[in-house]
Amino acid sequence: MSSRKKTLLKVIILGDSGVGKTSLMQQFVNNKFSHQYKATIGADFLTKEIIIDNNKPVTLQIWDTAGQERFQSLGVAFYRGADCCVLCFDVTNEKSLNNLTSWKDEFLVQSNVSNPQDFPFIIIGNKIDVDDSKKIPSLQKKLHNITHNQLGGLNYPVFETSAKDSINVEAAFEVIAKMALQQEELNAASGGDVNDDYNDAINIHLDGESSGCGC
Amino acid sequence: MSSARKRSLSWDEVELLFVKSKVYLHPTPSKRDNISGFLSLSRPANSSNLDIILAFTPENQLSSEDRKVYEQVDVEDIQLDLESLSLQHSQPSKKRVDSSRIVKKPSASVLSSYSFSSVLSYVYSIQFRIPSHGYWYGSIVVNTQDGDKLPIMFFHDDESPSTIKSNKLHNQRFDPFGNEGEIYWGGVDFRKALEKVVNIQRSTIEPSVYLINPQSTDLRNFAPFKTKQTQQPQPQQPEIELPFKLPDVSKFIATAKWKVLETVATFGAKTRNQVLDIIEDNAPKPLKEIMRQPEVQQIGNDFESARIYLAKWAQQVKEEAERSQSKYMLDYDLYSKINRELGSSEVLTDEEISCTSRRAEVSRQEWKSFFDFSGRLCITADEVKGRIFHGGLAPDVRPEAWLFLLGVYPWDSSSEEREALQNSYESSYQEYKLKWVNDDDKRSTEFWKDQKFRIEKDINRTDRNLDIFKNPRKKSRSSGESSGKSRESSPETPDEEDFDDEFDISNIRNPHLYIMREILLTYNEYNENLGYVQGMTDLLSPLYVTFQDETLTFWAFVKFMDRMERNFVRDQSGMKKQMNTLNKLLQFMLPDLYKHLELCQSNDLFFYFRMLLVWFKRELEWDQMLRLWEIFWTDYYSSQFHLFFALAILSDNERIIIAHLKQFDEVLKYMNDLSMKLKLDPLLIRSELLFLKFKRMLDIIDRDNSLKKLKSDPYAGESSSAAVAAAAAVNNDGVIVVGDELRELLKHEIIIQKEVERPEGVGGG
Repeated sequence: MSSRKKTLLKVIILGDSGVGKTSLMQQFVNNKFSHQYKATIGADFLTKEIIIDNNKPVTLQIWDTAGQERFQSLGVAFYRGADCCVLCFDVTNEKSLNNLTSWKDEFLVQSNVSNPQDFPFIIIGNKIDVDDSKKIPSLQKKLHNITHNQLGGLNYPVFETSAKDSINVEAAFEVIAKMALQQEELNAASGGDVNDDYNDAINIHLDGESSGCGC
Repeated sequence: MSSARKRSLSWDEVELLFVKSKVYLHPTPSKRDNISGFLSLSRPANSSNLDIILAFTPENQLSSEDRKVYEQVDVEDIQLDLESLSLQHSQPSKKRVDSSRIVKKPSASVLSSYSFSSVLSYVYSIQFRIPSHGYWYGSIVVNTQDGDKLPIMFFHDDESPSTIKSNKLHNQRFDPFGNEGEIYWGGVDFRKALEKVVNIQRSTIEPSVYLINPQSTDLRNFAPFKTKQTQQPQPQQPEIELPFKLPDVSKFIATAKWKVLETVATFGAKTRNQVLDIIEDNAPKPLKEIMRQPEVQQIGNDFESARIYLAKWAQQVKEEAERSQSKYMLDYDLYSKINRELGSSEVLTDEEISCTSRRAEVSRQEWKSFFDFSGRLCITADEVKGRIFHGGLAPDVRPEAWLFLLGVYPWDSSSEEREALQNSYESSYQEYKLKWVNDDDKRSTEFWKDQKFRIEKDINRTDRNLDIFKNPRKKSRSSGESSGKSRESSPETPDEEDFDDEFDISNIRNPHLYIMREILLTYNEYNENLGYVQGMTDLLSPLYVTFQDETLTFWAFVKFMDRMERNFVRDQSGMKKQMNTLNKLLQFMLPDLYKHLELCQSNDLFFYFRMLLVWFKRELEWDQMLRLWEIFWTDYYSSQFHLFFALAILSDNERIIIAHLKQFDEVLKYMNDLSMKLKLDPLLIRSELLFLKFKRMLDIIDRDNSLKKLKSDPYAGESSSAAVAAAAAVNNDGVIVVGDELRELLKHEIIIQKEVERPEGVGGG
């Protein structure tokens, strides 16, 4: 049906409750911010099409999740087929920074990705618009410590953003998109043996078939 | 009994004209609660036939002498003096009566007993429901002139001596069906006795209903195929403007009307079923509107997203079609429509279907009428619940009625007892609250601080669109009423000087939000294992807005959480269990849709998570959500009626989902985006029909199974139930085994699952 095959990139946003996951997604997709976003229950996603590497159109499917840990056990339902994972913290909340490691571990356990060693993660520290006096003291040092030691020593990209004032959000998602695309190509090259059910389902439908759906 | 002595009746005595023994009330589905008694017709002194009393008297309410008389009359042939019972009945009976038939006058409704009575002139109609599968016992429903329904009386024919005796006679005469070819059961005796004393007319529309002394207007209303246009206005008799005052009877009329309007209804069903064709043929306005939206333009040729929009678009067209239809279709046609679609008419009787109507909400006045002078309920709690289930409550009744529904006040308490209870609630709440207020050590622990942080964060973003939860404006702060007082009631009172950010979580300035925080912190003391979990603020806020009282809201929340705790336990087992039950229910009730969801890899039903966790709070407009909750709280059909409501939402969208959605994410998006678009009343009717259908299916399966066991022929029954999917397996004997999860759905008792003790070092997340 469609002549131009479009790439769908699946991005999961994780992080403690109240760090601004919903706000980041809304700011990026709809360019808006509200104080009234309710605590996310379950999961939802928004999609946005962007052009990366000058001429490559991709569709980002961004998944917003609940921040309370106990609800993550249901994550397995929507982690599958993820191409990139965004770990969020709140620059005014040290605990949310310290929890990044467990969010990453949880994701790897639940998503069952093929390449846990080099699966693309990115870190976002949100709420930089807040007064400096409220920010985590010596944040850079602590952040460096975490990215270089605890998270398996991998040097994930870090963005400091303000979803409220729309600072750095666009830039972060551009990098997210690029990393996700790499992962997607990697999966495609390896024959889609990982998460094959899911990817097959997508491919079938991209070809415009409706096989097997007794309708 | 010709030899019996005769005497006159005193004022508190009656002559028994007819008695049927072993007539039961079934106040709850449990057999243990059945109430056995006598149905009687009796005549007081100096009275006409219209004064004859129809009464139900529980066996245990009778003196042993009177009981003997009742039992005697039950088995005697009824020998009424037909002369004195002429249908003109203007002559009061002055005759002396057979003393062996004299008993104490049946009491009118006595508090907390189950007796009731009504004079025949006050009875409007009686429905005779013959024994059938599903209802093993025949029963009668008495409708009064006021439109009330007396409790349903069931005839336990297998226990009643008179019925057993008559049955034997019928069998000896090889005439099991009686003269008119109808099945003999206890109700027939009653009807025949009635026929002798008053004029009864069988309804031409609903043959099971008999009108008692019908007036000409009543008869006209019962004439078949009578539409409003042909009714003549009768200015002299304004009261006949209310011919539809009896909810049940009017539904029978509705059924007839439905037959007349069949073309319209068919058109309606057709519209709905062919909604997809209509889209293609007519390219309706909603499509153009959607296409103008930027998200749609953005899609380009992105195939998957387009499908979601296509589905949503179909949904809008469906709504549009339903809206335009509703201009022509009366309310009850909606039932027929939903009902046809569900195919429930195959398994449900018209009467059952007609009962699923939505009624007017319970007004302040009606609510008050449920109570006597001492503030004690004078009808049964089940009746109140049934009423609330079908109508909901007016907003000004909620602050009082919710306390009963939630179990803060017992249904059988008096106003005095409730007052005492409220005082003890007050002091007990303060005790719990002081546990954290007075404990500086506790408040300095990491766990406690974390809990407070979570609570504040969520309180600050719960229902802030409601006026009550908006922040007071800085300048009008001086006029703030109670805020000053309550803010100083406990430590941890936030600093008031900081106005940098009105949504700063450390700065709750709205007094109502502040009280909700106090309640949740105190709930943590009350239920130490659970702690605060996201979603609990969503459950608390409607309670708070309704009561606007810290103590009452706290205890109402405690009771609500009793049933909701399983949604929040650490290992999520309570949620998983409900999803699993819903999965089984879906397979059982909507197998086609289930198969499709399986292909979409959506049979984990993850899209239900939010709906179940906070009881559709995020899916419905505020007022509708309040209505839904009070309906759930009645536990009228099932303590898990929310699962039938969830099923109804899917059922309502079945066709669109099957036609358009192919993947997990598409299904999730579609279901998530139904939020704030759900229409409560049609969904409630649908849920109720689904429940009744479900119950009937279980009944039929159980009956088939018992037959199969009798025959013990393994190949006997590859019958109607073959379609039943994996939720109910068929064993070797051909007996269908229905899982416990599904059987549990028939229970009224709430399911309580408590959180286990929090292991050392585990946070509250």
